[in-house]
Amino acid sequence: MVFSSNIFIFFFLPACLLIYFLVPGIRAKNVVLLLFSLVFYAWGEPIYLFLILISILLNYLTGLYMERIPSWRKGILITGIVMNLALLGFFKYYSFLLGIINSLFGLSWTSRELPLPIGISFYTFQALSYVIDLYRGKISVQKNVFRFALYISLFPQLIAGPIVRYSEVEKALSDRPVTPERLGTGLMRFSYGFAKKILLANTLGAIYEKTRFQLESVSVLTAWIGIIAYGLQIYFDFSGYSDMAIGLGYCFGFEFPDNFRASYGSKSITELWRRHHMSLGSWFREYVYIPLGGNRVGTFRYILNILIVWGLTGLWHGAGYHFVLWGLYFGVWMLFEKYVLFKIKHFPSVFAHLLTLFVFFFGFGMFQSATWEQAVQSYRNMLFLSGMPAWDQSALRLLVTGGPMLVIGGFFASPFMLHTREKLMKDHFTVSAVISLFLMVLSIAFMVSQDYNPFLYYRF
Amino acid sequence: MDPLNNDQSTVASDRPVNRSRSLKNQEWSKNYHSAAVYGFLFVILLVCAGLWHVLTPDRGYSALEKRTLTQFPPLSLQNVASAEWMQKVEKYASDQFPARDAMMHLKSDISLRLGETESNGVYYCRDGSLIQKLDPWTPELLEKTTDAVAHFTERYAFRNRIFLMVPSAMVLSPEVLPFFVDNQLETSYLSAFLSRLPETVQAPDLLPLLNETKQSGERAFYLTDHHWTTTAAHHVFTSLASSFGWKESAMDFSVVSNHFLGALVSKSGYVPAMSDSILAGYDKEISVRISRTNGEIQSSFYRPEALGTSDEYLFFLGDNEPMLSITTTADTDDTLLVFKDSYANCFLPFLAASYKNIIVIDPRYYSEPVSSLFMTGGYTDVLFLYSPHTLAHNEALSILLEDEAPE
Repeated sequence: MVFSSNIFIFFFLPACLLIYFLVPGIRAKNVVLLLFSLVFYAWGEPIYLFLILISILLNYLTGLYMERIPSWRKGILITGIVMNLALLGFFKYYSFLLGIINSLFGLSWTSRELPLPIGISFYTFQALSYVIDLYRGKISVQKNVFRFALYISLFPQLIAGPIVRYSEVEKALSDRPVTPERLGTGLMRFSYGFAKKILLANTLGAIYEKTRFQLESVSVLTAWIGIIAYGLQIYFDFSGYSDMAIGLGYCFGFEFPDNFRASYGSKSITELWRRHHMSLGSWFREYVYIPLGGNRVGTFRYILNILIVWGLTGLWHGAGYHFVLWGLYFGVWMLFEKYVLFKIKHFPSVFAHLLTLFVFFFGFGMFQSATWEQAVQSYRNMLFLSGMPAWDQSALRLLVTGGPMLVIGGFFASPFMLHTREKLMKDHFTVSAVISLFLMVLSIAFMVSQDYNPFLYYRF
Repeated sequence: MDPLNNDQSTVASDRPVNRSRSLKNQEWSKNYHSAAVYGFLFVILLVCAGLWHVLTPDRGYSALEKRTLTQFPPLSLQNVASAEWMQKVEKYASDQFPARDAMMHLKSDISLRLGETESNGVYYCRDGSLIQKLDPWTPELLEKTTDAVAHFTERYAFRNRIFLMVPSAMVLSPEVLPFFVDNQLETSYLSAFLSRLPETVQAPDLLPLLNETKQSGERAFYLTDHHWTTTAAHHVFTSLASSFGWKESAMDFSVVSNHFLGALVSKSGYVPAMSDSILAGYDKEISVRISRTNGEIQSSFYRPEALGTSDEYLFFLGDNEPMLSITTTADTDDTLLVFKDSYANCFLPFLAASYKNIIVIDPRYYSEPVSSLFMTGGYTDVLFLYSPHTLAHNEALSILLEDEAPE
């Protein structure tokens, strides 16, 4: 199920909230949330309900046995990690890996395309945070399998993040505030995220789609309009989803980590990634980068660490060489920033902003493409290499019809709007309430009438 | 376990404890009472919308969208396990949303104000009219169709083989199109199609004739519908009558509706600048008898009962039918075979004076072999009357005509 559907907005959500608030006691509330979460997950692909249940059981038992047999802790942890990665690898990277093996050994094994289980990248990473932190002694074991199941399957953040670490909700699983104020405040945050997704992301997505129609014959201007629309769409899609998840979590009494803080207003790629997909970035930092030694190692090793982390970050986003390359591209650029750009004193800030945006959006040429060939074609189009004119009739048309939306998108992605939203919620609640209800009605109108409603982040 | 936080009632009585807690955790808002009121209001609104959704009787068919709407699917274990049930429920919920049409208008209107002059393949033009664009077409289908017409017209003997291709408003009025919209697809289709027809088929270019209508200050196409107007159709008929031996009958023209909102309104969701009028021509001398596929007989080309409904264009001949058989009181033995789409519906009345019998086939719905049309003998003339919107994307005509083509 996705948040931007009639079923969710008019039936699932109100039913879940009503029952959740009416049943007494945290145990009953946990049961309600767990049941609704499982229905939410099973809605799109019921068969994969078994997958998430297997993942739950696997990690629950890993935790339990690490506690019971302390002398085998390391072995059990490694087994748990390997099994988690095996599940993820099989369902997400199977055909990619097969392709690599085929090309290395000149084989032609064929694979059956499996539909990607929804949210597997997200909940596998959540589960890993549990077993690793447990091994490190940062958290205590969860003996109640239902609470553990609730942590893994909690529907607000189940399919598109933020990636919530066990330590962040450990206490809340058994004890959390459930109040009418939190309901209102959380739903307000939800409504802003909903509007971001429906009014901004989907509209920008429709502009982007128009530029992808005939990839071989688009002008340079069209290609760039497409990249800008895509970059903005990604931001609103993902940050809107995070807002909805964080808001709903807040309604239910959880505090999820913040994700996406006006990242396009950053002055460097290093800063941008700290403000972009924050929960993913901090996950990789905590469980990959620091265990590798972080920056407390020699220069060569440090560079290697950065490249490993960013290569993996790329791979997490999709099974393909171009995703790995996309990650490495940022790793390399951050090294360039560290060793060159940051050393320049009095680097004009306007230029820093523009350069950052350019580098980030330029990377979308790889990110947006389903295949390697498409990625290459996208760059040919952007860089005057496809023999097409700088602009043509249809590019100008796109500029006229889509231009206002791009400007609006840029405005709403700015730090100014983030701060305005936060200030409104904090100090002018009534004003914010009116705005949010208005946006809700408008978003519902758009949701009902637009067929174009896919959540991009399903495939990650 | 902290009993204070377990359920709502105790929480409500111990507000300060929670107040400090939520403040400490994440300071999102300081307005506790407003937040609570807002929260309840929000949930109540969603519940009401849900109830409205459920309690509104389901519609079977949407006249605006011209399609049957999804009904609530039957529940079975198999359906649920394969997710088919869920997909259908989603479709059902979006199809049956009570204010769907109003919502669509709101969305198109806002998008239009933000500069988006295209919705669902329909342009909102500079003069306030709605014009449908032609989707990209393939030369393969074009060749297949023209070949089929050529084979068919060679195979059977006719006095006149006539092909009337009605150009679209895109071609007639490029000056009203939104900025930077061109009609390349439409013009290239028209010229490619007409030039590929064999010389034995008479296919006059209708564009100059429609232009004459336009120059005379009349509309050749509706503002809100993709069809050509009765005025344009009649002008084309009188201009071509002498070349095809058509008799011009005395006609009474009268406006039958001033509130026509055409198919492009529902397709795009745009609220048009004004509505259209429908003009009908009544033959003063000839009367007709039309039998429809379902056996229904009518004595007029027009169906006044469609006026005042949501789809007034059905005034012209009603719904698309596989086959219509028209008998007239015209003083002639000539017969006519027509292959057509809905563009012929307002044109056929003018032909009543020239033929004793007219068989009208819409290949999209006609499933018999074409030879069955010739069981009782041949036809004097054959007429194809089409718009590119149908012909460029639908292969029904070529399939029907090639039905028994030599291998």
